Amino acid sequence: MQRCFLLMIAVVILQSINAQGVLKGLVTDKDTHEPIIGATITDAVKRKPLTVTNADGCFVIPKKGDAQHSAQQIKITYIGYKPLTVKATANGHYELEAEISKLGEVVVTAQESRGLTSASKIEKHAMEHLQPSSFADLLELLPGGRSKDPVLSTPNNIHIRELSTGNANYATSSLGTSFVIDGAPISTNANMQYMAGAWDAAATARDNTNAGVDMRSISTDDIESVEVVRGIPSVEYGDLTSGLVKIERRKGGHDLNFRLKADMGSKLMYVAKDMEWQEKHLSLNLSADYLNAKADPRNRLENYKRVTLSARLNKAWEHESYNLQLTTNADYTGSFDNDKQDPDLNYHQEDSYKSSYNRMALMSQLQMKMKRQLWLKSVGLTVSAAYEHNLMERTRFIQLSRMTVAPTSKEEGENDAYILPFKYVGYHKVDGKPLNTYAKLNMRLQVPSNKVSNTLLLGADWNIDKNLGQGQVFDPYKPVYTSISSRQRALKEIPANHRVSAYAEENIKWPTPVGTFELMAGIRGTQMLNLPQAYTMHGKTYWDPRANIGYTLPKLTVFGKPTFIRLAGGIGQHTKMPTMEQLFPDKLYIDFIQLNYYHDNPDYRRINLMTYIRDPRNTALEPARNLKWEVSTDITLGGNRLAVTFFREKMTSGFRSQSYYDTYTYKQYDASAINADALTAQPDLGSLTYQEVNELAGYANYTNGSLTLKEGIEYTLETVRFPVILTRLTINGAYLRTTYNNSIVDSYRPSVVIDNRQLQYVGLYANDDGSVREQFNTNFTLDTDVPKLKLGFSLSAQCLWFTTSQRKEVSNYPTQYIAPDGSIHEWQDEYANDTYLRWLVRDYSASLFEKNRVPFSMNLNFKVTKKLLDDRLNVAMFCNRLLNYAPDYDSRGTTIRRHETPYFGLEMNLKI
Amino acid sequence: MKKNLFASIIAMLTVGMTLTSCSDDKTPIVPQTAVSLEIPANLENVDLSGAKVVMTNVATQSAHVVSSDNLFQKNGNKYQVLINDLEEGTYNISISGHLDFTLNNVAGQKDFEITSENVKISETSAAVQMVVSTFTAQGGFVISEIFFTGTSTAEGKSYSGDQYIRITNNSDVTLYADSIAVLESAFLTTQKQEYTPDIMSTDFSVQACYMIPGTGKSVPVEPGASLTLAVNAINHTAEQPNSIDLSQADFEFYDESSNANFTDPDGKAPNLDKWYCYTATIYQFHSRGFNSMAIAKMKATKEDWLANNVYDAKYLFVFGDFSREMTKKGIYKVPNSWILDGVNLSVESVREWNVLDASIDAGWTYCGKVDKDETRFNKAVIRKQDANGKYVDTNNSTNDFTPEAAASLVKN
Repeated sequence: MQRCFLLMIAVVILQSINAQGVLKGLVTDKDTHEPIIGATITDAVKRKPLTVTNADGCFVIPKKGDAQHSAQQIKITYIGYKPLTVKATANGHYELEAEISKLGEVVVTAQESRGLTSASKIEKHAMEHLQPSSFADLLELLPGGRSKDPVLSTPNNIHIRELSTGNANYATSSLGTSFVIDGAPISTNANMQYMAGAWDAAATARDNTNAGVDMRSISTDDIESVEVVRGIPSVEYGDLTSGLVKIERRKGGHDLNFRLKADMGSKLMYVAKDMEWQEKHLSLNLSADYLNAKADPRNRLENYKRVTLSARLNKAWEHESYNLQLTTNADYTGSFDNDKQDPDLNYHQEDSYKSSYNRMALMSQLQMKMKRQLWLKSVGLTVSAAYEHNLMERTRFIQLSRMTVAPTSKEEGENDAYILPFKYVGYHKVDGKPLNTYAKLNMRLQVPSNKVSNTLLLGADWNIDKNLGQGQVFDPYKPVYTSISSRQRALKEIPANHRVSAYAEENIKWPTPVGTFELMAGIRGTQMLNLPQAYTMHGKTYWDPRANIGYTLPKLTVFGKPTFIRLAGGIGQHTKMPTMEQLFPDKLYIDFIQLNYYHDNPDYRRINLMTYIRDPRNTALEPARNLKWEVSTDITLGGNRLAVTFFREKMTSGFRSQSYYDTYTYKQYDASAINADALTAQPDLGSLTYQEVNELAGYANYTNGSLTLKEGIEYTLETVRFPVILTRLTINGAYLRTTYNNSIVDSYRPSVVIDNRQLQYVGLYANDDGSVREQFNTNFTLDTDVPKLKLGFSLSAQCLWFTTSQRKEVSNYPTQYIAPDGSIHEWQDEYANDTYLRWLVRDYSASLFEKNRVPFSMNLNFKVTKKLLDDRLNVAMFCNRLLNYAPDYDSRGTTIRRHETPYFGLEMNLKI
Repeated sequence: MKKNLFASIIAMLTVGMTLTSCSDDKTPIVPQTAVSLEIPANLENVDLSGAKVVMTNVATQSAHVVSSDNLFQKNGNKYQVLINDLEEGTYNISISGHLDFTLNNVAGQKDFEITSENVKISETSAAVQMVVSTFTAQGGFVISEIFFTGTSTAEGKSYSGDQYIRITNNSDVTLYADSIAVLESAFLTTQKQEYTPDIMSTDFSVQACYMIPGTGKSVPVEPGASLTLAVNAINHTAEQPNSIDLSQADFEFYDESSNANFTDPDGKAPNLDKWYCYTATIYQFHSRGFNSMAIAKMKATKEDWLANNVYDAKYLFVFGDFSREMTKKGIYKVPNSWILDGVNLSVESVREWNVLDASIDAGWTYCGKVDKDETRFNKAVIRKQDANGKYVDTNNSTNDFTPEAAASLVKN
């Protein structure tokens, strides 16, 4: 496939077209100076269409003799813009004026993108107004979003178009949302930062393995704009199922910026220096950011800190035939969680959790844009490398309440367990050093045409994830978690994940008298390399075809106002490869007690184990695949815009951890024959009688059993700013419906002990667990901008009309059960009365599957910004839930009262 | 191992019975004298053995002895023995013997010797009423102490392996502890729910049932003596100096497990028979005392009880904006009639209700006044004793127990 690809590049480069004898021009938006793609150039006299602008906004008209040419009048038209009739000049730059000018407009909300697929664009102004602490706060602006108090003591995951339950078995949506910063994706595939055996909230609540990017670690201060693609992204972007977050950071400028922010849980400081040497086409942006947040302001010992440092160098070279642009970014992100018990309250014993995430990233992007009329329009090469040094540490004074053993054998077979001392300081660390390298070659080609504006995108990328860390490191003789069932293994032993992809996409814009047709259709193929042959994915290419089409009606006039209507739709497949942990999970050590002998003399105690090693890797694991489709309409009436999208996303192969049971054999020694008084050493196993026993033991492995179905309608209505009151109304919201379902047979072994032994049976339950959640919300945002007073404020009434949740009805009765010898039996109704088997009947009551509906509630949020000192100082404050209306409601005879408290914050931005 | 150490005391009576008066005086002979023996009314299934009636004629000092058990006729709560051809006269009567019985379902035994002096026996007065009054057979096994909090270590951590419960024979007869089970409530006293069906007036819902094994008379407990049932019957002071040496405990709550994460040390004390427990991990008492405890004489076989004494309860669970009818499936129950004693445990700041029927315990007791009270360690709930050293048992633990008492087995 790659060879083919190289051949194509060569062909394209050779196919340069003689650029002589043509007249060139560039068409841009008068306000934004962005190129206008697909504008029609017509001979103003003959009224004959000549050509259309290409993806760079450029057009070329063949010369028809010098004399005739110089006097040529051309008419440039594009929907949404006032037609421009002008005399053509050589290398002319034509600016089209929008029907409704947005010049000087300050937008403090997210805007629906003008692209073919549904995406939200969040610009700098909106962020300044929102006053975020981390990227997570921006999600309030998406349809379906609502202001939430920042929770910075645990990882923040993204859930686009989803009403998440937080269940780790349905985390593929957040794992499958790709964050691309300045063209380089953040990879979390080699994240192995989980604390094996942990049961305490300090460690488990902060586990972000297989859940994607932790948005806390993304600072918003350098961001110029964000595009959250909720719909079907270009095939240029891969290894995602659910969405794409494209972050563009500031380039150039001359300011020295300071930002100080404080809210009820955190403080943030930011300083940035922008430098630009225009004549050299060189710019450098330096910035530093520090965030300090506490879960509870009264507790200094549980906190979260973030430090980000960024240096971004941009250099451009302009040549006659091409422009070259080089972007080089160096970034550091430090993200630190601390949770410690106060030693003064803990008898001076240590009990602490620390997690540090240190990410150093270097990326370089070289972009070459052809000025000449070639098939090849641009070539871009992006190379990035990110090295993380992540360390999780748990130190804890352990005092056992009973004799506890530490199984230490790394071999399968019989062995004696180590009996732990009753007191020790346990230390467990997780050392992860994920290294990600990424390279992408991208090129845009164009078949010259004067009928359609077209671009062919071709590219390939290669991603390597490796973890060089030591993984779980602990002294097995002093474990923090005595019930740990894995042993140490260095992460560098795990083979690197290689992922190669190639893609091709055609973008067409075809203006016709009956409207403009647009098409974006492409395909992406992805394969994982370096996988052992046993894996189903070995050598298999997964294809993601994606297409979006659009049709824009010709300009209409409604109520005397220019009106534009666009209808669009798309369908696409999205693939997310499993992570390193999902492909190569830790081996599981299952230890059965064969002899448990206690003696007053510690030297005579003996606990003999039979150790089995189970490799829980599932070689049949395949990528998670999400099929999305959506239809949307975008109506602009006199500058008021309504965008409505109906979508449906079905991912049937989401990752989940599922438990399975196998039967194991071990010896059960009879210790009653031991004469305790006659012992002079540990009892000898050879002299004891035993019985061979079968027992079932479970292990978990990753499967593709999670279904996530997302459906809904997203809508945004943006009005123009009403002149006298200087106020603009934005209504956005969504009806979202998320269905979760497990398609794999679930198994369950009750923990009860009947007649001295744990129940020896395991029930198998078909198609277990699942839920349906719905939410309908509307945010009414009135934002007022008073330029004279340099004052902007917004009032947002965030109405949650209802939320519902309903568990999928599952049977309490197993379909089958497993006996200790591993044999599987069909379930019979009469077993429900059997002394032992009855415990396999679970206790879900019918009402658990009833729909739970939470009625209307509304928050009123207020934000204000004021510019002072010649716009150099910007002071802002916000109050979320200044007013909260959440009436009591009845739920099955119980009155539920709801109450929420306001959340405040304020900040200062200084520009020098 | 508690052996049947109870030494049966055989009354050794003087053997002057060879001396038989043989006179020619015309002392009238009473052809049949009925001696009846009344035994305490609250004893059931009474069996008299080794019985001996000695009737000594005060005038002649001749003694008439009847010592054949089969001559004693049982009639209701009375025994009667008929003595033939007794001379009229005044007698000193002594009856001794050994009683086996059940008292409130618990097997017990007692030797007795009662006497009555100067009883006139004539033809017109040929019936003698004797009452066994040397013991009252009141009371029975009671929970005398529950140490559920555990001890605190020098490092300020809690150590719960040394929990124990003591049960005491509060009667004046020897009772057998065989088949007495320690029960832990399935419901929490800190979480009230309207369970349907509500069986509290007839049964106790349990989540753990550990029974003292025995063949019926394997574990005699003398009046006033106690049994210590330890969660771990080992010498804890070896590892934990502030703790207790429980290696001499009478029984142990041992949890057999094949899972290396849950190793329970098996001390020398015999293990309780674990009929049922809600968890396959290590069993221990709720260290804040949220569950009520009881002891019951298990009247069914293990198989029978396990098969036939389980029910499902429904209740409405409300938490925040979540309100649902829930089912608590598989709750074992023990009839209140089997229960010998029960104690509601709770914590004042979070207490919601009693989970034992008021006929068993109308009150409740505690260690710690607030939830997670760190001052509760080393403390137990101990039943009060009256002036005679008897445990007070009014079926109201608020009245009967001393809360937050220093645990009796903890030193200092």
